[in-house]
Amino acid sequence: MIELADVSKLYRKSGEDVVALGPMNLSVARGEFVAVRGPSGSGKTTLLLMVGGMIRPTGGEVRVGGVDVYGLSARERCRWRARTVGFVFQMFHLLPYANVLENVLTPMLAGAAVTPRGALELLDRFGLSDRIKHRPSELSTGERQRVAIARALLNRPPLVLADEPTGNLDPDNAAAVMGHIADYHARGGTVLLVTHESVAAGPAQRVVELPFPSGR
Amino acid sequence: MSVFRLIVREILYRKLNFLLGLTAIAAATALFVGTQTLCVVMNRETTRLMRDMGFNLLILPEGADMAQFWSADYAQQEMPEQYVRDLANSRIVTVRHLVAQLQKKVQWRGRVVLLTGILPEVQMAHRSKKPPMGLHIPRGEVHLGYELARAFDLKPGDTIELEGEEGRTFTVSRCIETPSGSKDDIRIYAHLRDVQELLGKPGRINVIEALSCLCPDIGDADRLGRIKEDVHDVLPGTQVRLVRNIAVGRERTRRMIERYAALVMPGVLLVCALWVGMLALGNVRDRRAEIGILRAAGVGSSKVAALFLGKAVVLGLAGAILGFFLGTQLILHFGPRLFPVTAQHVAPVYSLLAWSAAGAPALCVLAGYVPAMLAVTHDPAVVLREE
Repeated sequence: MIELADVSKLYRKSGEDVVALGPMNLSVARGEFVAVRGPSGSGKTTLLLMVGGMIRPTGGEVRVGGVDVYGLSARERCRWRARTVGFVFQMFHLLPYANVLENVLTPMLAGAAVTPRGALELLDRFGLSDRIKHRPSELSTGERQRVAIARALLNRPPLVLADEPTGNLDPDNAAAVMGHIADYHARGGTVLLVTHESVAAGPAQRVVELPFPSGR
Repeated sequence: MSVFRLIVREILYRKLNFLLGLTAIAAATALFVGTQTLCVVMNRETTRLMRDMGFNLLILPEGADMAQFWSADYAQQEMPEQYVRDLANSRIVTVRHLVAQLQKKVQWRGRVVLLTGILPEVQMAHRSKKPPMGLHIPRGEVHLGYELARAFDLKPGDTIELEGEEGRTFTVSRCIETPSGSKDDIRIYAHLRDVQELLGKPGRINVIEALSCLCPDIGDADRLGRIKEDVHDVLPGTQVRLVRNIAVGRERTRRMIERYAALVMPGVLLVCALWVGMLALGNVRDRRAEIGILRAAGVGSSKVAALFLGKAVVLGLAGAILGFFLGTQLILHFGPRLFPVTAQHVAPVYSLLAWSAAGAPALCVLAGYVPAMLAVTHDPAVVLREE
């Protein structure tokens, strides 16, 4: 599903190159659940965004589902992302002014074939059916993250990229969130999760350690 | 779930940002509507005041001796009354408010007076009707100049005898109550037909008074030449004289109002655009995470831009409607006090609502364009990494 070949990312900061990632190689099979673990600043988020077509690597190649992600034009990459990837972030990144249902339906704006009915069914499964009219500020952190996961899963993407999904949650909520991600995986989805916590990496079939990059 | 729904949600969520923008647009629109309505009202007021100063154009018979004209206040020569109808039925636009007159000095009760026969204004056939200028005196009635009424202690309702080829009795229907400071104080005004009969000159006139049009496409220098050309096309041989002090005063006043509006409005619009632009920029900064997540969800740059530009359109439309009613209300409130002569004509100019509804959103889109482009080109990964 995911093939990273010698990918690296350098940033230019104050006239100097700073290594954010790599070079690294990674292969994730379709339907596999892989956790990438590493300390803060090791480039975990950069790796995730690179796989999701959000950050162009300085070197190497990113292929997802056989597609050379950065060989696509910006517009094609946008469409590809809408079809292929579901993102889950540590900070949830919900639209603060939209209610729960509207947040879950965000992929509709990208032209994804999703329906309010499908969103309601998913929210029911996530135990949020009584919260659909609530704004994010009226939800607990655990509920916010469940909304974010529902948004990521609504259009049934073949790949979910999760960035520290339990980083802001208490153990109970963390367990619930990981349960939903595990459930998605059990239904055949591919998961690439980055975390610095051992607990979050628990349900993963494979854990990849990401060292702190040299050159910083 | 649509872009419009999100725009409405965001506006309701960030009310202060929207209200600040709305205030700016409404204020600018109110000023625009207020200024333009003021211009319309001032133009009308100025026109009325200038009209009250009298006609500014004289069309005289062929061969009229101007030295004699200025000394006697009328031309000895005459022309057919039909001329005034010929002019009214022509398609010229440089003159309007045509009033045919026949004047002559006559002896009346031992004095020399100016007997003036006036035909009620003949409207230009091809142009919109305007309130008529000049006097409308019914047949058998006369208006008396101030000095004559005072000297003979005449009042409305009195009757007077006017001698001519055939003497007749006329009812005084009006006496001018204040001195005009001109020869009008020794005039007896009557209907043109009555004066033609008294003087034995049926179908004859010796002047057509008119008002020159303020045509924006004709420069000051060309104005008289163009008027002469137009009149001569219809009435060859006649003489055309512009009473310059009245004409110039009228034009200068109207142009001054237009220049004032042309000077003030761009400044107001610029300040308003900068204000809205700054607010839009702040809005983009506040919504960086939102832009990031939308891009991560695969939402294209056109839809992200539509979120911001669509908000600008909503802001512009709301500001235009609010500003139109604010500006109109201000003029309706203060206008009658400022313009007492035309107070009853101070009214909303509804065409300005259409202009505002088109212009204000366009201004907002223009002001919000750079921030919207910043939102579109903003690297979503930057904010998504900031955790």
